[in-house]
Amino acid sequence: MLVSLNWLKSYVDLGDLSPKEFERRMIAAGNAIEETKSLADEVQRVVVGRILQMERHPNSDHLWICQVDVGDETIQIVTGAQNMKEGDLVPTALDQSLLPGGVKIKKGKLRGENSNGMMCSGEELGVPKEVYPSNADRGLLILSGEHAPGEDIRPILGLDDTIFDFEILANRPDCLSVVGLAHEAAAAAGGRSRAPAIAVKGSGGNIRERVKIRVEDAKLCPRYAARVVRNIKIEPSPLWMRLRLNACGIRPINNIVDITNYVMLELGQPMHAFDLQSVRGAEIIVRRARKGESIRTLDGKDRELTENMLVIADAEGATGLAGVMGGEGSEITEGTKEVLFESACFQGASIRQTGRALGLRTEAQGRFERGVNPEITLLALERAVQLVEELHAGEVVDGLIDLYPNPVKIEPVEAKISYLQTLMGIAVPPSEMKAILETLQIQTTIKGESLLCLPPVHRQDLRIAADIAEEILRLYGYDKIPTTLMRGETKAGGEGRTLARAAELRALLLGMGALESVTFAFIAPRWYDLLCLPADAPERLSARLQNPLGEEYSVMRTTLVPSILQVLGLNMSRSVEEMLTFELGSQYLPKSLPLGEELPEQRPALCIGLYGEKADFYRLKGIVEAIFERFGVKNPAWKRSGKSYLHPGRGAVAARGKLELATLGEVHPGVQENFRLSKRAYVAEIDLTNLDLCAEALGSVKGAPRFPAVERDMALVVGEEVLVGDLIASIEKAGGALLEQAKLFDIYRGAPVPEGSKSVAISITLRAPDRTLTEQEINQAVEKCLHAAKERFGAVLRA
Amino acid sequence: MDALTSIREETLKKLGGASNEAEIEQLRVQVLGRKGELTAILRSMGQLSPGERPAFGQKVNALREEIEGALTQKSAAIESAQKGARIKAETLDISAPGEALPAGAAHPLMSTMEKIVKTFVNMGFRVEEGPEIELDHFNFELLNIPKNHPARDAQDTLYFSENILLRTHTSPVQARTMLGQKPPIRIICPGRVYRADELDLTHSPAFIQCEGLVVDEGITMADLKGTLAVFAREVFGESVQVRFRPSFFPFTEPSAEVDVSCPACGGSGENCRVCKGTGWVEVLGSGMVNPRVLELCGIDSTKYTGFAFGIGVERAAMLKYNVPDMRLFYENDSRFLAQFSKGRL
Repeated sequence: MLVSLNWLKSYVDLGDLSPKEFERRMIAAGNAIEETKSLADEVQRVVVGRILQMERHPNSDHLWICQVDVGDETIQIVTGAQNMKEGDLVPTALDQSLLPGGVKIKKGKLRGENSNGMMCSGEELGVPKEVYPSNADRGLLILSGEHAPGEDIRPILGLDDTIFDFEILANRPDCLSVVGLAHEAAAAAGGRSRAPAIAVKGSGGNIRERVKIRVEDAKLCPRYAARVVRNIKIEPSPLWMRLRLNACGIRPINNIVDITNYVMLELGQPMHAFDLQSVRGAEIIVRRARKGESIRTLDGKDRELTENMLVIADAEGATGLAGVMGGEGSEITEGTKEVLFESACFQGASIRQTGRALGLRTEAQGRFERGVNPEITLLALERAVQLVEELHAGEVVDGLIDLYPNPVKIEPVEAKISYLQTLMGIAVPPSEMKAILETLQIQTTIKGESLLCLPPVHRQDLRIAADIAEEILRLYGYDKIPTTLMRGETKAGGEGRTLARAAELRALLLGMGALESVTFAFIAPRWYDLLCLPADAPERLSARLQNPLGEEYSVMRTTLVPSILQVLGLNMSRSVEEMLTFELGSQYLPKSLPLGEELPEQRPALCIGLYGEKADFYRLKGIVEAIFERFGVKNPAWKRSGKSYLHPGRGAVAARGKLELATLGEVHPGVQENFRLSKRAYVAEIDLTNLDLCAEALGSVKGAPRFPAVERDMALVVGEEVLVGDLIASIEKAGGALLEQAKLFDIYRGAPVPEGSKSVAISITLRAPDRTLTEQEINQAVEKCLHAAKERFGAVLRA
Repeated sequence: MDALTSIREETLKKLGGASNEAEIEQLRVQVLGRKGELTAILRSMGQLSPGERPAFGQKVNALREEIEGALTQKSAAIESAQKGARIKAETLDISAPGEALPAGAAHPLMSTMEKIVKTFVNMGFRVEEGPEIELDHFNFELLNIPKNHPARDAQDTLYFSENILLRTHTSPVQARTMLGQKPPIRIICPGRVYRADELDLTHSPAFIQCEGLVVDEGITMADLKGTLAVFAREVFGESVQVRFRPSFFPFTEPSAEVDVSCPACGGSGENCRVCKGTGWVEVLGSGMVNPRVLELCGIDSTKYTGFAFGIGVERAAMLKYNVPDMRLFYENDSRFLAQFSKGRL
């Protein structure tokens, strides 16, 4: 919320406190300031100038040479403006002056003629036309009223001010007003604050003869107050009011509308003024909308209403949306003669629902949602009509209507002193607590071990002892809280299984040179199509957001594969030659769709992506096997995978019994195209829950072998259909206890190996733990291996 | 006698000219071998009178020893020269680069999260996790944010249905923990959270949070301040300053925003884009757990107090590594990520 320091100062004495120090103290007390704009610093050496003489520039058809009285002297200024005449008073920037936005003005020559400054337009000074109407679209700002040449321009145009943009906390709707912030300023920066003094003269008549008001739903409208003003003269509001509104970011419109906005900024009460002549039947009813009712709002849109929306209606139908937006028919116009000022309190939750349902977001609505204090309703109403009288904008009819069946009661808060001191972590003495609370107008008495605190009416956020603790602490100073560490029972910390497992996997993969990725868990449903998943694929059963930020973020992924393919694609498109990446994330697996009360299973998964010159199926498989090994997963069974996104001949799934551990392989050429991958890519997805279930602890280990091993190489010719994995497994089994390892080292095809066969070269290592093997033992073991290979796969030893 | 002298001189002369082990060996055979010159002289000793034999024998043996010594010495000298030559020949250009080994890198968000978690685990916090797809009840209601409360505006929420949503913070894990355990509670809840914010320089619809919660008898705001000071030093460095500012959150009272001295400019604020010249940057929100929240979660608020805090991991990583654009974290360009293998984190 933008607030002018000058306006603030009219409700609190700040002495000669500098804006900088004021800002510091307000922030320390919790009134955050997002931006501070010192108008006074931005505009320097700009004074009132009187144009004494104007003559045409000899070398130009549009420039004027003016002699300008700037107080101490008369200077010559060349200008291109056309809207001035001799005798006019204009803002004049002298040599070495400063204008908003860091613009510097220096003397110089314009087409050969000396120009010792600049006469300014409103725009150049940051004063728009709405604020200073004599300020033409193009041309100089011509000052109205009497000012002496040489006088500082800043006070005249409200530029002797500092504007703060306060970030008002959600629990402090009272601070959405100049007076509310003045109370804060008084507590934070010293001095006394006050509310505006109200005095309304009135002009006779009786409001009750003019209008009847009825509130049908007091829950949604706890208070409704109104006054009537007749013989309205619609005209611009005075300069001082326009300047203040403008400083606080509100565009001046006319005296009546400006008064409602002025009161809203000053006291925090949203006001509404409507043309009483448009109220049919001289009757106002605050009620819920009827079924099928509709209304045309101020913005010219027709809106369908529902029965839980609160409306302002007359005898014939709804004329405005309570607290959100007025109706088009009751707007203040040039011809308005009689106005009803409405000052009301509407329930925040209801206003919020209505606004959301209609897609509206107005200033008044925002204020009601955060909570408008019903205790200021009447003050604001009286203030508005007082301003009407001050501005001579109309005659205030005597009497007011105030419907407030259940006045709010401010309950005193009892707070144990020891509790307050514990919460705060600092033993502020009770007398000091009382003193601080009283600067906030919280009436405080020390009663034995407790404080009894009665908050002022504008502080409805203070309900419990913890609230009181915060009030004391923020003014005592958060910086005075000492730093201690918790006492009490020491607890064993722990990172938990998910994080520990992630750290193990991360360490392993980083050692292989992998880069970790993090992608969004919500994806585009289209990605399932890109993966060529069949219509009934379980992956397609994903939880869908009602209000996603876009289709591409609309469903919760059931697989990490498309996200990783997306990462590979991005890097390929940016000419990164190779990449090994992985993500530790979750699959979100709904138990039923649409989601019921039972939440989806969130299943941890690891997805690995790979591409580049050295990338192939076996490299990827090697990475996955290294993970299995690291987790002690013994003898997983490898089968071909039927996943649609994998190359049918180069996809595999690893399982132990019924537990699937990993699906991996080369990306299907069609899917590769769908994801715009310019190179072959490889992807693996590992189910970490199952990995944990199949993991085995390392347990006991053996000493280093003390007897030598013997290696024997064998080249076995087998048919193409024989799977090397099966061949090695059977050799390992046949070799028995002496076989330490059987390792593939080459596969050869081509002459002299016959067509349709391949030569598989395997190196076997034999060793006994307790002796050196004899030649006979070695030969027997090798023989058993060869025999098994021959029996099961028809393997022939290659000559 | 002359024969011995001439053998000596001849042999030492030849040895002087020898340049390799083979020549030395040849000389050894020629002089000392079974058919060698010196052996032949020894054999001819039988022609001498028995009185002359011992003296002559001594002389021959002395010469034999001398020649053997000389041969060994020469051999050692040649070997040493050869070693020297080989070593000299093996000189490398040590300025040429080493063999490149693959260097992986943890994602900066993950390494920052790990660092934060570790800091708290070392202070006795236990990690608790919970579902990202969450019930409104745990995400809002139990945290003192009823339906249609304006505080919900600050956390624009993504919904699956009226009651099921993507958690907007990891606080529901705190609520679940308080409902399931009795104090003392000391937990840290890291995880992904979601809000309906468009992706831009400083916002992301999904981000990572680490929230902490302590509930016990006599927990104070000073404990909160002390705990967070440890965190700030561990994550941002020993010299970092910490500042508490009053704030508001529905689930804490009193509440505090916590600023640290700007890591980019060291707190001076001079021409600093990161802290916009203030010297301070906001890193987290915190406060004393609102007694209403304790009661809603079944904890006696007259007996127990507690504190809670929430750290945005993206924000912390951006500050720690001076990352200018949040989108870089989710784009996963290998050239951005690979930088995180090139220095201590």
